[in-house]
Amino acid sequence: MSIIHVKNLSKTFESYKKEPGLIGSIKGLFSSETIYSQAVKDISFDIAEGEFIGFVGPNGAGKTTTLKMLSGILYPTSGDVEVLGFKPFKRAPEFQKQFGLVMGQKNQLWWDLPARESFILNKAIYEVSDHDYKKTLDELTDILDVEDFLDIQVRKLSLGQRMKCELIAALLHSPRILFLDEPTIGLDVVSQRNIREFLSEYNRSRKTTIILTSHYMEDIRRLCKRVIIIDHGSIIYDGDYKNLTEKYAGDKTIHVSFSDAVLENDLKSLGRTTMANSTSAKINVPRKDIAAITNRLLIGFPVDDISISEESIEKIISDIFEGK
Amino acid sequence: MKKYLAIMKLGWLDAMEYRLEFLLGYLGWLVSFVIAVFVWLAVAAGGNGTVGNYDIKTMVTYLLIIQLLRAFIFSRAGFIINQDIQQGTLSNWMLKPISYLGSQFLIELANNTLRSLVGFVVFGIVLFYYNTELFYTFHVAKIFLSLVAILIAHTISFLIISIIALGAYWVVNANRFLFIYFSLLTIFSGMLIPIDLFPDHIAKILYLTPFPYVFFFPTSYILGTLNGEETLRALLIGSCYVLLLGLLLISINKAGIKKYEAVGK
Amino acid sequence: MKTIKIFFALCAINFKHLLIYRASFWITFLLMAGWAGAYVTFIEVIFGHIDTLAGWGKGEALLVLSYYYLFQNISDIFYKDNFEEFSDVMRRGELDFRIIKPVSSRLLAFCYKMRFDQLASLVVTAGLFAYALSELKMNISPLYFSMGILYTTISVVLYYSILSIISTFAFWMQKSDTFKVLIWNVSQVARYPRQIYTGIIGKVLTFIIPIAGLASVPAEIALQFDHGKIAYILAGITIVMMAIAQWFWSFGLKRYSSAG
Repeated sequence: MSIIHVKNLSKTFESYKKEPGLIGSIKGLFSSETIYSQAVKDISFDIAEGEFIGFVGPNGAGKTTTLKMLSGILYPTSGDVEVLGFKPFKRAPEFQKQFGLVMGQKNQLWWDLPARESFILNKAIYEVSDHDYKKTLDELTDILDVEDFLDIQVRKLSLGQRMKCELIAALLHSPRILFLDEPTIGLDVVSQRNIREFLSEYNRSRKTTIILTSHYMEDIRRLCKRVIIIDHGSIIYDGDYKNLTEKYAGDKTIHVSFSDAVLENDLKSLGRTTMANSTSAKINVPRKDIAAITNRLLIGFPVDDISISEESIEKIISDIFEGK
Repeated sequence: MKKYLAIMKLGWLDAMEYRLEFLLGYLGWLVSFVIAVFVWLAVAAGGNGTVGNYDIKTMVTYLLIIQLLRAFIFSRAGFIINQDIQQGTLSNWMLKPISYLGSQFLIELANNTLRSLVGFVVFGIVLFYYNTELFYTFHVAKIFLSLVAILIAHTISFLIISIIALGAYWVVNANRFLFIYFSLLTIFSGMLIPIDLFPDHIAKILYLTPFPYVFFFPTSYILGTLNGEETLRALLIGSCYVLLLGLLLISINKAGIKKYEAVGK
Repeated sequence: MKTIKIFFALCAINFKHLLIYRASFWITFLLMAGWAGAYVTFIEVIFGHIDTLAGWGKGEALLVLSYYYLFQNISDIFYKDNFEEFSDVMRRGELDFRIIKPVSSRLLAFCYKMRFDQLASLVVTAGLFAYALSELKMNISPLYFSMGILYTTISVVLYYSILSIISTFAFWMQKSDTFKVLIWNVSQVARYPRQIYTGIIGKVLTFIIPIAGLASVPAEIALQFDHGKIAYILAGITIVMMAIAQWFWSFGLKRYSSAG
């Protein structure tokens, strides 16, 4: 059953054109031209309860704008958006109690106070009962391993510790949907992994729907079964992460090394070849032919070692964005 | 020198960019002018039309000149300095091969020059209709000395406000201090009440502080209520304060930067 | 009422800041003394030249000043900073977190950061009250004096609504120092007996942009001027202003959500 329904959603921002320089500013006093920029163009998708979805796209693609429309921060310019049966932009409290939001570059925790104080405030704001609060907090601190940091001023925490506390603050009221905007930005590798593991486990055990934007493909690869790729405000791919590779990565590459020197011309018939030297080569092969070609290589050449690799997803996505 | 000229241009551009804010600022000053006029009308009503040496016409002229000069003298640099220190944007400046405080001074000077144009026109016209005779008293020397007095006033105002804003190196937020300084300035600089209406012994003490040289002195000089000796003394003390406060600002800033770098705010 | 509950939760979290910034408490005390001292000087100087100001004697004018500081102190404690820094909060994107919470967004926008270190100011204001009372020619009724103090609550709410309306304009603007200065200038109106504002401007400042009575009316109650009729009128105006402020906030928020 779909809990997020988006149809033909668009968002246009207005700004004023300003000519450069002092003369330009003086002109600007009397008249200015409005510029419209479409941040999100006519997008549609449905998300079912319990899904873990990744929004991918370069900076300024419209990921965050979409997230803001889903959480009710922004009004859509046109189109329909429905989350949990509510229109987000009406900001109904019953709706607001059912989602959480974490933004990697902004913090909602009180800077000069221990994180626990911010939790207590959120408990009051979201009207969490004492019993539920204690239970949820114990559970979350346990999984995230932050007991020792809860009573230290937030400003003194490391970025990774702080992000864990931000997550707790957003999850205390056990939301049905969690929006995450670049939650691992700026974190070290270990913290990134910890947070990823936590999110994956949380989504699995609680069936919480999680929508994540990130420009780390690693986040998306590890976490999201489904990805939505946005570029210039439009969705250019919406589907399984795995199929993304099949759809866009037509070829695989065979890396092969030989025990004796071979001639490049002899390999030509197999596929697009790049020789490094006489004893090693890379051959690009359509994925359906992999088995046959490997076979021919092993029979016809003095193969010493052979491996097959796929084009990396980062490469695929950057190719998509560059319009290749 | 060229880079500082570019900085001044930045100040102009900035003033043009925020025109709505600009008008809002004028609204604020209009409010304070209205308050002052009402206070003095009520005071004059209680004193049969005159207070000290001031009749209503002189008093309103005095207040109008204050308004006219205000856009130029009044400095908002404190808010910016406070914010730069508080939010760490100061670090960006420290990488540049120019003086941070010097740049702030020039931005403010450029910004204020532009802002005061509107004030000059608006209050200038009102003043011309209200007290045309005042305009006959102007000659080259008076105009020149007026400009010097105003420049001294602006500089003192900038220096004090920056010194207070540097408090942000040590406390969380120096904004509240700035407002309390505005209160002191309102009373002791002659913005609301000419210094010569204070009891003599208090006035004598006030003349030794920097406050009267921010508003009372340039205003009274333009109004023509000061004699030659008083003018000369005021110019002298005012210049001394520019020097003194300038040195103070630089040394406090040095200490502050040490603290800023140590904490790594 | 949930809003009230959250207000107290905000008080609780902010109170903990006090322990962190103890130094600020003492600095506040000293600066407030300087601030109040400056205006006492002003009133002293004026009354050095005249006997009554718009019908108010020196002690009475000092009482207005005391009530002025009282409502200023309370607003400094509970909300002033938020108004002055509202456009910064918006620019930094912190407002986003506050408008997605299931409570009044205006409460979270304007009562989020409180300054309990400003409690020190109340000590100075108490001293000012004592001085004003000692300068009064007649004896004041303790009952009416307390009613004046109580009425300050209404002034605080009215002032909140006025500042809310002013700050909501920030949704259309970008820079914040202008707001700080405007709020500052506007609040100065309340410093004097409201009777000094005569004519049409006086009417506007009392009834339409009702700032003139914020301190003057509590003082009039304490001094039993005019049977307190103005007190009822101002209370009615407060309710209207609260409604306008709320409506304008929703309107501005809509604009914020559209513009991003």
